[in-house]
Amino acid sequence: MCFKNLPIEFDAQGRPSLKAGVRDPYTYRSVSLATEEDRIKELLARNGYIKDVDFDPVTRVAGALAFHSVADLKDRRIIAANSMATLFRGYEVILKGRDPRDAIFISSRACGVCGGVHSTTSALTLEMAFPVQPPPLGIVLRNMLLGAEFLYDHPLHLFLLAGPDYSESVVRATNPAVWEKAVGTGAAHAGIHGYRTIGDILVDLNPLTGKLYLEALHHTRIAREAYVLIGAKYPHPETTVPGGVSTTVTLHTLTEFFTRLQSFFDYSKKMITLWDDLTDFFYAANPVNRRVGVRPKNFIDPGIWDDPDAYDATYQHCNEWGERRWSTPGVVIDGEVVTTKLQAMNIGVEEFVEHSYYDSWNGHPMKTDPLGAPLSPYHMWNKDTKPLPTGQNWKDRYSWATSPRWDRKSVEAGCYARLWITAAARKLPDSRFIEATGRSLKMRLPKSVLPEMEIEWKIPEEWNAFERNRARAYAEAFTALVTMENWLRAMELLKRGETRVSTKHQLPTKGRQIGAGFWGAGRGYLTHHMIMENGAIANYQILTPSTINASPRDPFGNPGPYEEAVLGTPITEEFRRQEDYKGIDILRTIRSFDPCMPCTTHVHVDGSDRVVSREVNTCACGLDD
Amino acid sequence: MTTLVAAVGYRNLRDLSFGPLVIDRLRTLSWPDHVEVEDLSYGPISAVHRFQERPVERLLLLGATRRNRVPGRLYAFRPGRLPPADEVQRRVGEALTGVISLDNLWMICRTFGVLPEDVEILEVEPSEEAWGETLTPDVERAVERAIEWVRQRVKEESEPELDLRRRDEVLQVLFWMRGEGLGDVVRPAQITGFLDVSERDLRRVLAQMATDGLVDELDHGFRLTSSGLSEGGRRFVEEFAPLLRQGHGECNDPGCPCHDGDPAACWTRHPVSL
Repeated sequence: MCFKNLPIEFDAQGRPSLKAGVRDPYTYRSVSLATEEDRIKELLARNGYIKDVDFDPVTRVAGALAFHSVADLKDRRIIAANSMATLFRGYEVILKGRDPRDAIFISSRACGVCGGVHSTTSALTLEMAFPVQPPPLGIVLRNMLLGAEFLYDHPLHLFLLAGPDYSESVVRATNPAVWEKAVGTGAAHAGIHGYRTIGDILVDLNPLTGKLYLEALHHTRIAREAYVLIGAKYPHPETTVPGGVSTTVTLHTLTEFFTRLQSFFDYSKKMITLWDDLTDFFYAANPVNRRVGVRPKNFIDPGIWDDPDAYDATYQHCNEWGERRWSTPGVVIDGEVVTTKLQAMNIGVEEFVEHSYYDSWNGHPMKTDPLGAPLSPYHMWNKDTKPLPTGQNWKDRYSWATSPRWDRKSVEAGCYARLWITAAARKLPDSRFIEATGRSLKMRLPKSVLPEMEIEWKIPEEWNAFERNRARAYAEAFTALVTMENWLRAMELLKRGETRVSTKHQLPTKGRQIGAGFWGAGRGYLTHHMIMENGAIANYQILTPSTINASPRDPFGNPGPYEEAVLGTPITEEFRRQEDYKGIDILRTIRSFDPCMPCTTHVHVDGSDRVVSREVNTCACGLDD
Repeated sequence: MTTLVAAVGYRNLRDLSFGPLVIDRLRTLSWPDHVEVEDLSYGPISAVHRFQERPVERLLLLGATRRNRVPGRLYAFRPGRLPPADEVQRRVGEALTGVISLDNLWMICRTFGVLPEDVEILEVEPSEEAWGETLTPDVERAVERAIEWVRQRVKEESEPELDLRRRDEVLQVLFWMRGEGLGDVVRPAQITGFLDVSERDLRRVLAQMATDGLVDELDHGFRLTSSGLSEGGRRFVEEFAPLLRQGHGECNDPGCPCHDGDPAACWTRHPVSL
């Protein structure tokens, strides 16, 4: 029984149904935020040491995110937090009425960082709706593509976007005592990453000039090269189609791919040992760092990387093929995996808009999923995107992100959810390189220039900003090894003469079809839900990891993941005067999620047709009137 | 010597699409061999990688940037000093997440040292930035002027200057082919296989070289004269000196002093001189 709040129960065969005798099973009462708002206002008015701290935009995140917080500089803690997606993403509206095959190319444009994941998720959605099942090599190549995409994505975040928060230039300015300690602290893994002291690492994390920064820039290129060998283009691939991929793959292609993949074995060793050393140092330098970005261990992930012997593209068998994925789907609540079934994950998700710039929608067209399980009126298959730009008010509406919840709980998305669920669930396919122990993921990184290395990502005791970054470094190794497994499988298929990369599909032109794509982006959870009518898209809904993480309060009064993590954050920053306070702990917290707002937000609707291609200033100061 | 004429901009955003639309037009025109035309709107970080792989000697960059000037007016300038590092890093963050901007492109490429010294920017002040495939009339009128600006800039690099560079390269190719036993007398078609030059331009260069006494024109090709041989050899050695040094710690010359017990005296460790 995985649901505690939704009125859903399971029979002996594990089939979900609505609990008997519950009237209006999905109804709820919204909690008013007015009292809390009044309390914060009063604190601000009465105490000079309580300050509004606004970041607009939050820089070094992808896209348009602003953050409002209230800091108690005397007690050194954050007492209020509001995450604001400052732009509207109009893809759901754009896709209505179109040929479903357009979705692959249009949804890709939702993001300039990781468009490939949207293309693929669209392809999966279409495969379910048409239906069409790709051949084994098509599935394996898709896995390799997404592996290459994440190999690009993780270092980009760790060294170019989040890394500068831990660099010499930032730490000297915000935590000078920590910098002093770093200079004199030896690095435990110097033999692998080559840095004698922590101070040396911090210097090379400096933006634009640091060697680690520049090295990451170089590696993003290698991963992109690997991607385009199959995808032809990045970030918007040309070869993703329903039913597989539309490219010819030869031994030569695979060899070229491997020469690039190989470089990530050593790079992963370096990334992991660097972030292990950094994390351990920051904990030792100030144990309060363990509380930076803390929030409950609640995660959601649809899994990724299909087993070609299991995936049949149907919703009917999604629980079976889902659990055969290289990354196990599921939900973690309070550190425990409560389900690994894609169906349970899917029917538990609802999107609320009480604190977002959207009008609520009426109707409940899909009362059950294709297997007969109950579906909430707030589920994506029932959702209607109705933009409602209004004034910003912390009590009411303040974000273009919705509030997605699973079982009405705030859950977090991230590549680390992938590691967590896969490690704990122990459903990982047999692997030459990876072992799930129930408490950890053991990985064997092959010899390259550096010798073979055994590494182990252990499910952490506490969940904070540092563990998010550390886990992201381990996710690079996990990705490289899963990609290697798929590369070996591709070689095997070629050897056997199974060279077919796609299955011909037929676009249904009559009736109603339903599809869903359960997949992942570099930063975690990604789903597309579609309803087709008479050959055209009737409804298309994209739910991204950053919509989940950047979400505002839900109607039950619970903060979204960024907000919750910032609310739990202590202030470790050193400052003499209040006006010197920079808010580095808040920024480290938010950036540890790897926020990527382009797919959460896109087009500013302001009573005009002006399109905003970069962030808008929302002026968070004094906006509660 | 490559001159890259490139554009930056969003498509389907009315006047912000100025750069890519001008590039579409430029692609339909013919340009000298050393001129490449490319749309660089795929992101500054990828553009860094592009320039690392294929450097250019000159860059002409076109786009639209809102700076609150007269809509439709063209502004040509050379990029100034880079902003502070914090600002560049902010732009790297934007670039990594898909923001397409002319300023981001040159600032980031310059920061990472991949831009040539010779960069000129031509930008138009946009009037409208809404969805749409067409330019506003003001900006539409600027398209022809932008094309003319590119033509003028490309013309500025005169043919004689280019031909001097080509002559250097032809001398080296003829010297190398002779040394490798590939032939004393070489047809122009054999040379174009090695050089980025059309046969028409090559024949003009060879004719001038014959006049200058560097090659003899024979019935079935061209042959280096003694002064051509000397010039070709000198240029070849200068060009390839780093590659002509000792490799893999081996010296195959039995007459070299390193075989008498002094490795530092090895001829292969010193620049070759003829």
